[in-house]
Amino acid sequence: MEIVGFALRRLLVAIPVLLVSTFLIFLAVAKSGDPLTELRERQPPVPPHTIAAEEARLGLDQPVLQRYWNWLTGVIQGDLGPSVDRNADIGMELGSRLGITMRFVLIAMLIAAVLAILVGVVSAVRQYSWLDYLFTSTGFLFLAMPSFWLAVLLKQGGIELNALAGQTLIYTVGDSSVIPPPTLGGRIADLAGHMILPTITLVLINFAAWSRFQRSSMLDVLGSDYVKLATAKGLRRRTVLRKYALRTALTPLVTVIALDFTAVFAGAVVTETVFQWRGMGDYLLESINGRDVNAVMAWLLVAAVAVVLFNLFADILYAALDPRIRRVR
Amino acid sequence: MSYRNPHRRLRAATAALALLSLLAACTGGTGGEDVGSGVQAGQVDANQAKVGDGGTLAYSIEVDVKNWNILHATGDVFGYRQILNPVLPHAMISLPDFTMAKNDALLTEAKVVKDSPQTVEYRIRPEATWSDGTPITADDFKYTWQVQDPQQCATCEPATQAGYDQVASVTGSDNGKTVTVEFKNTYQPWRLMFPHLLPAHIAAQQGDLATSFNDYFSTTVPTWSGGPYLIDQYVPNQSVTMKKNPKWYGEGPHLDQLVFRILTDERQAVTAMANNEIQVVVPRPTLDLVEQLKGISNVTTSLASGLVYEHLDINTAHPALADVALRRAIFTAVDRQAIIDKTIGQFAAGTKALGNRNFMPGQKLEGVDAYVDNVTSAGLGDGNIEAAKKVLTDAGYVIGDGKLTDPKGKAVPPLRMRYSKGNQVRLDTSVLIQNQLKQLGITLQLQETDSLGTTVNTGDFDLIVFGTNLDVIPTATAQSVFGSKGTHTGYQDQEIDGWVSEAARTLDPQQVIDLLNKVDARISEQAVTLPIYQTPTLIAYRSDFGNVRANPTRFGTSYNTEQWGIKSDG
Repeated sequence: MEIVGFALRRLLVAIPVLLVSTFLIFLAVAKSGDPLTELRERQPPVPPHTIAAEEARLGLDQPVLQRYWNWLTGVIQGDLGPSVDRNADIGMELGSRLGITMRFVLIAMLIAAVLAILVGVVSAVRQYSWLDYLFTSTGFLFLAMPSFWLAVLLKQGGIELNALAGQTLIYTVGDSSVIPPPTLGGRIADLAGHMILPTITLVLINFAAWSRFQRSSMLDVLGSDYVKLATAKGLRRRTVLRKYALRTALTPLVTVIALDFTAVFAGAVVTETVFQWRGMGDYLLESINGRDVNAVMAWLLVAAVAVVLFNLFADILYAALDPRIRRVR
Repeated sequence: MSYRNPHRRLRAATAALALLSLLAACTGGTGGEDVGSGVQAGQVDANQAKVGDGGTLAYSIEVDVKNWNILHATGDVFGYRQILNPVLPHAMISLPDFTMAKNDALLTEAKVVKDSPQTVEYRIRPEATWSDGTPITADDFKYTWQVQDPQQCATCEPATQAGYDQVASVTGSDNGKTVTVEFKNTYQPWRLMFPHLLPAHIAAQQGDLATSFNDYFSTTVPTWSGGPYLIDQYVPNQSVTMKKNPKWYGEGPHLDQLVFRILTDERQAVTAMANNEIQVVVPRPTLDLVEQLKGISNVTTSLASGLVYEHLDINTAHPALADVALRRAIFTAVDRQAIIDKTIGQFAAGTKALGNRNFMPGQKLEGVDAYVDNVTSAGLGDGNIEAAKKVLTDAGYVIGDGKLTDPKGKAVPPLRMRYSKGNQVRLDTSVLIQNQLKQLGITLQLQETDSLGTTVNTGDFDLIVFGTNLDVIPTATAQSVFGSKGTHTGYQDQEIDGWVSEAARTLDPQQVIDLLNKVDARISEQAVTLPIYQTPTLIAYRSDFGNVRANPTRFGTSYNTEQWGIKSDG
């Protein structure tokens, strides 16, 4: 019950934060330009009544504060408002985009986490060995490498590989072929061929940071008194590492991964652009380019909820692990 | 005005990287034979080849279709037209060489049969039907007219009413296969009308004119076709796949499947082309893109001069700029070739300064040459600083200490030069003009705008650089740009009003050309607008596909998809 109360308190604190942030972002996007610019600049000119109808549909004929109020009251009632794209349903669009992004973000996070744990543990256990130096320098290399750079290089590598193989194994755009192969095996290979490069990009970028974190955490634990005691009492090294050290050293990494989820989500903007996946990142850029206030707001709402939820998840995790936090009012 | 948003995603940051990596890997390509050898208008016989039946071609498009009705105001987007060109029947079609012709697949004849009242007759091929077997008839012309005429449908939201609001009646005879369009007043650019037809028999099942036009056709993926291809599958944000229309009444089509692949970032289309995931792309040309595409083997790259031209405009309502002498001096001092060489000339070698505001070099109107250089002959745009200084001193201006003083002894104030936010070429152009005018003692303060339309329409500029898209028959554009009702420069001229009105009512092409060139010469004389260059159109396609070519008009590259196919003649 203490944890439920704690969670509720955190949620209540999040509401004013969300209100202020949505207001500021609404103002920023609404003032960033006119979404009907293209329509107004058309040659031959678009009839004025058509432009007026679009202005009315998007609420552009109202003061910005009124527009924000309309948006806010609409959202409370489950209406995300009209999109600049006349036929687009923002809710439906977000739903499909979220699914596409989550498909490779979750897989990438899982692979990155497993790799980070393995590399971090080996690095810590074999500190200052050639293996540790190799992992450390590799980690720093990927940490320093911008994701778009890495993505472009990987694409080029994929094209070279295809040329060597004499057939298309790796694809550089989209999440699947427009005309899918007829066989099940072919379809699986097609999906894998589209997924491999964006996933590797996200994996390498995140694995680098997380493996450094895991190494540091593992080194702390290995130097602690209770691990030394366990070793001194004659427990097997593998048992000490697995049951005593690793379990404890994992806790901070789990928290970091939970908090990093939003960063991975944001990193997907670049990855999706380079690989042309029509996910959340692509939707954000498209909406900003189109000055589609309601679409941007809906995206940010999803992102904000994700931030709040994952922060809450991290807090609860802490609270579950450390009872002292639950008692802090 | 400029159609395409100059922004693009992360472009500046990644372009160099993409270029480096691509160039490193793709040297030794064989494509690009047309680039850099001088830029000309599109050619109707470019890449002409015998093609075989079968195969799939993917054409990269930058936008997903958000409105399936390309006659609707929000559906009139270049990318949407590319996708729907193979589906909608065309009565008239604009060709790569800037001519407007009847679509031979659909019509046997399209001509003026009576001058007063102007009456145009279209004869539809007897075999022309929609994909459900319903004949294409005068009813389709009538519906297409009604939804674009405010008197027939006040609540319809068309992209344009030009010409349709001048129609008195559309009637059918000969089982609807002969269409007679009678105009209220003579309408010279009648050939621009009916580029796309909508199916009246489907509209009739969807409510009144406004409901069917604004709602049904806008929101519904067409399951019907009156063109060579039929939409087989639409995957939102991903692709539109088409198959052959079994009821197509013309020659071809040859490809089994035609795919429009939606790639929102043009730079990614380059790697997709290198990996053979797409076979055709028509990106906005930049130095990076041209170089990258040229580096891909088995890809042909070509540039064609388009119907969009960049120009420098002066706001004559500004107190200092109301003086024609100052305006003439400014245009005399601007060196257009230097601007071209340092901007688009980097990738479109051979581009020359443009000498007309209504016609492009090589353009013909009904077979009559239309282009005349009215700019260089007026002594404008050659960067002649001494001549510019003489214009000023003859008018009583004084140039001294890097400052310009008007004949009344008052210093000419700094002038605001506006350009589109995020458009590097326009920024570079503005900086070059700023430096050129400094020699006359004129100070330009560069100021970007993120709403070009509003800035132009409200006259919120002293000088401005932007682009205008001409139609293949420019009478309507000339009226809206240079006529008193439309002028954004504040320059009004009753004689020009008379000439553009007369041009719009004249069916004799030579007379139209003469009138529009009189307008152009007057604009040069009054130094209101200085044309700089034609914006080039870039196309890249896999070299084994025939009959794919640049069409820099509104129809774009997909104007002839029924001819596309894999080359069979080696």
